[in-house]
Amino acid sequence: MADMDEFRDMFFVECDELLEVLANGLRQMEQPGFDKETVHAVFRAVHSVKGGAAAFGLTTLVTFAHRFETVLDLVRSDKIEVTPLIMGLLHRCSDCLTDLVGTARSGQDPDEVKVDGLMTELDGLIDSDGEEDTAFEFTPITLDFGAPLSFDAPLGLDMPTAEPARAGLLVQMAPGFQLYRSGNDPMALLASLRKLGDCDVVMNDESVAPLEDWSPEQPSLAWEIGMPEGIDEAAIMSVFEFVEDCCMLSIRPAPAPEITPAENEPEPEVAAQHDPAPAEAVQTPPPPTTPDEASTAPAAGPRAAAQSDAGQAAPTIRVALDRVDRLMNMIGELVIKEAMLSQVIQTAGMHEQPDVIAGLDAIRQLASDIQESVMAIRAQPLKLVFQRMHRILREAADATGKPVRLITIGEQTEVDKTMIERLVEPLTHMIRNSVDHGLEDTVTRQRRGKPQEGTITLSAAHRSGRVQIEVSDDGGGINRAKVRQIAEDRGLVAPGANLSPAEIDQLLFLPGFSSKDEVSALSGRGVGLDVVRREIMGLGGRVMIQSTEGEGTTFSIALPLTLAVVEGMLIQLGDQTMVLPITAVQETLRPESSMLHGVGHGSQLLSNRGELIPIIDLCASFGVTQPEGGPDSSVLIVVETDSRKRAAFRVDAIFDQRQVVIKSLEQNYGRVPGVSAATILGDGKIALIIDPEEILLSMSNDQGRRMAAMASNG
Amino acid sequence: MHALPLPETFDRKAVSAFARTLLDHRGADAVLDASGVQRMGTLAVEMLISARKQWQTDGKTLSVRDASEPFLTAIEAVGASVDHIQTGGPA
Repeated sequence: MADMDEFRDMFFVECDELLEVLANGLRQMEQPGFDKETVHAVFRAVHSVKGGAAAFGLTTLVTFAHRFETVLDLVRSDKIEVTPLIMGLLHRCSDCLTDLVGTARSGQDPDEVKVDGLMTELDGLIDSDGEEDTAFEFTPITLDFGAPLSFDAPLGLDMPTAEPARAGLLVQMAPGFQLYRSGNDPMALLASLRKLGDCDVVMNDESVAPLEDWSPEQPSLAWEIGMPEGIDEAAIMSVFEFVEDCCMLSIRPAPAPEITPAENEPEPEVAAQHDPAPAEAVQTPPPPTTPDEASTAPAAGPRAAAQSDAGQAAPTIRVALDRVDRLMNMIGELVIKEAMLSQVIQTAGMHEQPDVIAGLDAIRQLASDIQESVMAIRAQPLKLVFQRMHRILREAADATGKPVRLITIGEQTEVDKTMIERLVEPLTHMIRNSVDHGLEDTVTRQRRGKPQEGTITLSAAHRSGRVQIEVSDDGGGINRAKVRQIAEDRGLVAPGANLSPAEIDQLLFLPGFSSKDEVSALSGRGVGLDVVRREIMGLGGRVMIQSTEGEGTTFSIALPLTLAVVEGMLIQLGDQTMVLPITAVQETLRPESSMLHGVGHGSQLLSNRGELIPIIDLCASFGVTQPEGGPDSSVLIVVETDSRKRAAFRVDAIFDQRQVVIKSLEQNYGRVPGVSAATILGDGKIALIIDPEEILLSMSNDQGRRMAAMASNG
Repeated sequence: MHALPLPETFDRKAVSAFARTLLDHRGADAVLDASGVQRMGTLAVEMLISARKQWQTDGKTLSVRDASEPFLTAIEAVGASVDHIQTGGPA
């Protein structure tokens, strides 16, 4: 049933948010004097995951969440003291819950041993408190999807089942927040149903949380309405005509009644969760149960997402990513078409007519604004990745026995959603690498006068039109002699090669530098930093290292803001047009001969404001035939790369600056050294987008530099 | 004992504010004055049920006095009774 799948997907999206709240809250609980509300928020998050999981029959998840929640309840009622030991357990439970959600999502089997082990630990705490963990008095709760959940089986939990009063249809209704927010009220729906005939309305308030955990955005009241015979489904549906997409609804034939409740009287309901009322003692309406084939599933559509703070948060909608991607692609095409139009106007000799120029400029501006708006839709804070790193760090610290803390800075920095997903793996590797190889052991740190606890800082910031992410440790720095020795031993670099410290650092990125001989619990599995670099380069980014012996190492990742469009300078190399990303360009100049100095075999340096900058002839770099007039008529473009290297690129001409749509060359053709991607120009020709960093890395004949360039090529 | 007056228009918009007011009185017995209620929505009923559960958990009493006609009508319209929002109500 398509709707079921959709609700299930929505549940998992909701879980991601709840797990984020959980992880965040637990970290806050580690701070001295934390707010009690944090514990409530943590409790609510686990409770909500449990409620949603129950609706989808995810037994293991529900069972574990129930134990976890019980312990959190003891914490919030001060029956369990928050000690580092307890916090460690809560973190592990949070991780386990995340794993269980993950396995439930992918349909894999959970790690039963791990789950059982943690449940035993949780049970130990529950038992020591003297409270018996009341076997599930739990009912599935309504998660606020702003849309209906399914009516699913209550997992065999000991739930009483309401019996309809009559042989007519049985209506089950559980309104979502969206129903209330749209100005509707279940009271009016119930009144309309009563108008159809003499019906039995049974309210179910089992899922209503105590006030401290209750939120108007997660309404939990549900109803079962036994309709009299003779009222058909169409008549009932007409009552729900305008709210069916924001209300869980099931209409089915009522099972034959075994118990006839008092006529038309609302039955007393089961007491709050902590009440010992035996279920069989009272006739209690259940929460919505099994989805029925005859049930009236609501139509899918865009729905409002849950808001954390009523009346304050801006309304949001969830949109499938492919829809946004489609929009982004269309904008890309718009940019190309605009360039083509511009070209046509030029060819037709209309490019000097003011109204044509104004119109074209307006289109260009509009396309740029639309593109920025779509980019903003796709942008997500790095927090989503950074938060996952806390767990990675905890596990790495446990595996190595090194006490370490993670500081995150700038986690609200936004990048494209695609990058968020693809950054997880490289950052995970870098964090593990920093813990395993970057930080010294406790004894060494003590000897060096450092705190026993190591610090890893994960930071992000927007810098010069790019996003800069840094992973820094306060460890011992790169042992360059050792790195060099390993590289020589493995034949990655010629013995005695003249390598600068930065070039030695680059050796870490060589494929095969990491060895299986060094297998540790974390890294050294033969998968080295070369994979990290390849991943980052795949995102159009760069990885750089800075290391100071005894003080630590910083890995910097520079990423483009978007993977779709780049602002570029259109340059002429022979008969070829190429694009140089504007972010790298510092200045352009036509040098006087006094500014040029020859060195070595035909190499030149540019003397610019007291600085000597190497000149790289791009025609030579790309093997393009130099046009007549030679280098004398050429233009120099001073570039600075992410790794702060500077050079002057010699080109034949610069003729435009514009946004170009990035088209992957690797996917459509293959990798070309010195080229990061391609684009389609206004005249329909393909232009290559130059990768300045790679050009600089490959400019030297030095073997170490060649190796480094090779590493950067992945 | 001082009674907390329920809002005259006890709709969705009034629910959050009243829930906060009510939470300020946690830890003590409380009486809700329902005499002024002219209109009440389902979400308000749910909030009051939630309050009853809270007071029950805290081992305190929560009671309603001077229920107005619109208040009682709303309660009954959703299939509840005043006992749903008073401790010592349905167990």
